Amino acid sequence: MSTVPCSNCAADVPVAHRFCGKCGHPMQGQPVPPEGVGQTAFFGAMQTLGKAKLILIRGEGMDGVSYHLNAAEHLAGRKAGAILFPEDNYLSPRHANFFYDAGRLFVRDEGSLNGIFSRIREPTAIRNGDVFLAGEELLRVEMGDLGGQTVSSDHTHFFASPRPARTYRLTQLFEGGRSGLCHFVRGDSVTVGREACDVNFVDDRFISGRHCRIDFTPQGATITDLQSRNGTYVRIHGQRELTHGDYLFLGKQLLRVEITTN
Amino acid sequence: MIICPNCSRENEDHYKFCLGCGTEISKATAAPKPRPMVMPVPVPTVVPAAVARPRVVSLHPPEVVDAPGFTTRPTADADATPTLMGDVPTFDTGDGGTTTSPIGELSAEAADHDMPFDVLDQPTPAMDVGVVARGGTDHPQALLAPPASSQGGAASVDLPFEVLRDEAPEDGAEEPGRSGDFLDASLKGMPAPSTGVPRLSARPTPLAAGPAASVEGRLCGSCGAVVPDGFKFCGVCGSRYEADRAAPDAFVPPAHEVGEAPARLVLIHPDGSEGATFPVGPGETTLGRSHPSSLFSEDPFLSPRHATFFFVKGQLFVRDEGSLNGVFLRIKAEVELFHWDMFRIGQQLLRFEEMSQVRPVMPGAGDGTTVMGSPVRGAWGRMPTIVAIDTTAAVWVLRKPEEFVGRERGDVVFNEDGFVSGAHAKISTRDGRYFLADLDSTNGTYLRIKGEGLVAPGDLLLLGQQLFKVEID
Repeated sequence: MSTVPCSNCAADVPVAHRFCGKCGHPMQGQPVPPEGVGQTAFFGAMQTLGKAKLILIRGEGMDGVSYHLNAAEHLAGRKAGAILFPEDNYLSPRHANFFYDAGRLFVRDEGSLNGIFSRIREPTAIRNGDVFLAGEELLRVEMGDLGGQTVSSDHTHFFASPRPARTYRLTQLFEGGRSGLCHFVRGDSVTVGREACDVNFVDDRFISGRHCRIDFTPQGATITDLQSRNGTYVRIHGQRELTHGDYLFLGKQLLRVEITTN
Repeated sequence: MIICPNCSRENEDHYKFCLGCGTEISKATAAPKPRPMVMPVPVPTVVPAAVARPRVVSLHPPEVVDAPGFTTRPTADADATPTLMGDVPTFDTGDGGTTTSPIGELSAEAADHDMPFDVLDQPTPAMDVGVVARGGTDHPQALLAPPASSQGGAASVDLPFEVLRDEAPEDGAEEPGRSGDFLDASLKGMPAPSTGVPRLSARPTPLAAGPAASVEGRLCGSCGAVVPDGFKFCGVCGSRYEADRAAPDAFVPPAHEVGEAPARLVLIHPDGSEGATFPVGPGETTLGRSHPSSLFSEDPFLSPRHATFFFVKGQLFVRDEGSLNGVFLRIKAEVELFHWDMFRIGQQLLRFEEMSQVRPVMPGAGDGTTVMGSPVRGAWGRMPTIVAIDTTAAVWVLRKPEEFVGRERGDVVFNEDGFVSGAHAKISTRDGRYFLADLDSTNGTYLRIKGEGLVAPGDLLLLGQQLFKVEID
């Protein structure tokens, strides 16, 4: 079958095709070289300067593998998409979509179960119910009132523990969906780490001694990474723009974003 | 910040008791507050000198608190089952004449898990002589009734009523009739109030002869304050006044005099001294807020029918009648813990959850995706604090083979609870089983009895806010 190289990514595209099967670039208007006429081929598809790529830092398969983001959008997931991790059960079948909008790279959560976590690079505002990763720990920030009845329908008063003074709290979420510890914050701030913090995970090899801090106000909370070794990751809502050097967790896959063009 | 009026120590706003001396520091007008368990031990730094119980205003003279009335019962009841509940209205009637049963009023929490209570139709003498014979895996033969349905209401109603009919000699009335009986009894001998609401001020009870009895109003069923006629809510605690919350009629002395009763419950005051003595007869003795003794009727933490004491082959057992707050027994030796066991340490109400039985709170997607989260890393249990019905606050994960609970040191530290000893209790696991042990704490560790349990002489039982020492001949 006769092919022509895609002008965008240099992939071999059958002559009759109107779009490049690899990057989606339209093939219309491309000169169709006559049969037999000598043509110069690329050494490989990656020879072309791409727009952005994802580098697998840690996860399933070969660490260091790059995923070039040269098309308009790139689906990632366990069962569908160009960025495929079939063995990672934390990934939804369709998990995330990396796409360009006006030349800027975005990632969008495709309604995945476990979400996309982005490493924070500066103090970041978070809301009630937001979850974040520190080391291997998945923690949820909660600020709402606990509620709960203290008098039963027969007017018996419930003899309960004293309520905490504040409702700011962190809840640990175990794999499989069970909840683990719940720490009620004293004052307006809580530190998380392996030792000498308010909340300590002594068995977590990936958490730093002092890993991150959350500061609470009645309006919301701010999470700050305390120069931890592995970083603090906050689950994104919907979609967000990516910049060079961003780190993302999709399931167990840790990816670094490298943007090579503007 | 609250300055303790007794020792001037600064306490956080939400503290109920001074961290320094144990004096109650909450505002007197607050809702009823649990009285912490206090043992008669000479540790003045932990035992509060005087912890007020939530009685604000009562039509009863104060001395009725210790209820000397029930120490004299002139005649034995002719009936063979002299239950103390037999000659008084047993159930509260809900507003609108709805009759409710203790089972139907089980909290959602209680109904949610497996063993809120068990009903023993025929006491089984084959029970172990363990500290606590509880439902579940260890004593299946003692548990003839299935767990309450998750509906909590209609499906479970039969059992307690059956028990009641067996015990209550005065009638074979059906449930609807009972509510009418109750109202009749409440109104007996007093002028019919125009509103249809029993007026306690007119109650012809000799016990209501105190000066407060002249106050024109009714008693709040929650805090005992006088609610003026026409008020729908208690001005002290905010509880809605219910017509059925009439204080009980004059106390009828029990069948057996204290000296003749085979067992007695001796009230232990917050300062450790002994108070009133309550007889436990050879038949079934049911205690609760609907009991006529002011000792029980004024404790808003008691369910209307709370617990029943009974003898089986000379051994005393207590059965939780599906009460909201349960029956807690102070543990002596190490006891085995089972999933969803509740226990008290200081002011804390805690629950043990076996990790393998903890249910997910985050739903999966149904597409084969695993819910992501922290690795469990050998955690074998969870321990939440319970702050309201079906509501937990702080939760600890139990991971080491032995986890220590205390106010000053340990893995689970309650450093704001002055009623927790420095090193108070130990929760441990070995051979796939779980155990709770008290570390000679000042105020003790109390385990909630599931269903029913054996009671031994000298045992300390917590019902509502009342702490009792058990005496058995």
